[in-house]
Amino acid sequence: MAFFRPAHAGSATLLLSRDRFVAAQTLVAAYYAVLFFFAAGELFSWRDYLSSGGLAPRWPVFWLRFVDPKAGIAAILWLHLLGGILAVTLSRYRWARIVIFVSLLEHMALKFSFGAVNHGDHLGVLIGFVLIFLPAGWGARGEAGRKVRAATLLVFSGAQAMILLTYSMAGMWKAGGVLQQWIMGESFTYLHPAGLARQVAAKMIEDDSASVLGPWLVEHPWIGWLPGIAAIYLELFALWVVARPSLHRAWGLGLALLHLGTHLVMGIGFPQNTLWLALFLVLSPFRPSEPSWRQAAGDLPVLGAWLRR
Amino acid sequence: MAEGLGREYNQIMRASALRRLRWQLACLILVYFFAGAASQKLVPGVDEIIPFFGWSLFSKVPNEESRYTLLVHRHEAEILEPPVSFLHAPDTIVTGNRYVGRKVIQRLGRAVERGETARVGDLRRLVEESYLSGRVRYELVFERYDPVRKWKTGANFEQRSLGQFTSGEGL
Repeated sequence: MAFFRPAHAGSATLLLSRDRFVAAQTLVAAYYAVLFFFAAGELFSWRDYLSSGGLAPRWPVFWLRFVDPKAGIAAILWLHLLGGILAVTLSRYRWARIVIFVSLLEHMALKFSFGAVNHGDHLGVLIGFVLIFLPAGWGARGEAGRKVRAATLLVFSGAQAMILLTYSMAGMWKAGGVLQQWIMGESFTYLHPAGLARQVAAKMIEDDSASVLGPWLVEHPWIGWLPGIAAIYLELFALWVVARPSLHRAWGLGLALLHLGTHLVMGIGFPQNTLWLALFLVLSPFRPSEPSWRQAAGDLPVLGAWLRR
Repeated sequence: MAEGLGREYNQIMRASALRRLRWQLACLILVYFFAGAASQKLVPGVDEIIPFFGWSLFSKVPNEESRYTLLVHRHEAEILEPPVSFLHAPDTIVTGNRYVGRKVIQRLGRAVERGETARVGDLRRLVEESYLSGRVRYELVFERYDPVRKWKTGANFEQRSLGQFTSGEGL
């Protein structure tokens, strides 16, 4: 199971399971296949990168300051493409996974070296780093020894933890923000019925354009009240879910729906994140073979203790 | 059977390699948590240190909001009346990712207000070379507002100009 103590007995069953190991193999292979797809898709942007100016290199590409920028950018683009090809052919080797990670990091750094950073690409890079820790033999077809199975599933759980950590951090700042604003006596926080609607209005003004459902929500602010609080609950307690496989599917779906919701009301899209949530949480190899709503309810953070009574 | 599986599990988890792997992964999570939080919140003058990030996004509800806007007054010989905002200017005037450009404009506005001459020069070059096409006369404007009121009526609590600039001049 995860590196945290499991909420229920059964670590052995989960980490040594051949079926779950094969499922994890497939999902990791899918991750690498997606990287190949992304690299191929990026070819459409090569011309723009190669003709760009005003470069302000981020730290991973600091070396661009010391070389011909056009040649350096070309090197990064070719490395990214190579990384995509390695991802779908040689990811069973640790050296290849390291090159893949470096290619992702360099490409992301280049992308954000034109003034500002967007955060839709971070998870893919972080997952790539965690997967470097996969053991030799993780991708072999046929029988894998128990240590390979256990190590592979442990690393998969590590990837889940990295994904969920980012959401818990987001939730932590929001919960802290509510507390800070309440202490400072500000009228509107996320606990206020109009809190989410105000955030949506501010974003639409910032973008100088209306989102699909934003104007409707601003006119009917109370509709966003409970979903806004639920979103903070989902984010804040995300990391709790790593050691509770009964919640993997629900939390993965919940967080993915959160992204769909924020896209519709705030115009902020995180499509890559929904993909990683689907692969690593919704399709989690640790989820129970037969879902038990009772167990899932009992595993809910904070609410579970109350529901178990 | 469960007992046998448990013994097998305990045996393999005692194996130093797997124990080490578990600790490595746990440390990785801890390192990212602290480095990410520090990257966004604690390092002065640093935007962020990718791929580390604190993930503080829309953490507080704005009771009052402010922003810097770039208004285009002239492009080459063409005078734009009324001036057009950066986000709504045509592709012949604004190039690149406008939403990334908007973030750079916020940094430029803050630098102008603080009188950071060198930084203003750098950010103006970034805006003009990466996001504006041709010779553009533009104005930086500061606005302060209630988000819902401004969305519904367009009204600001405060609006002031930070000056007009022309691409490539005064750098």
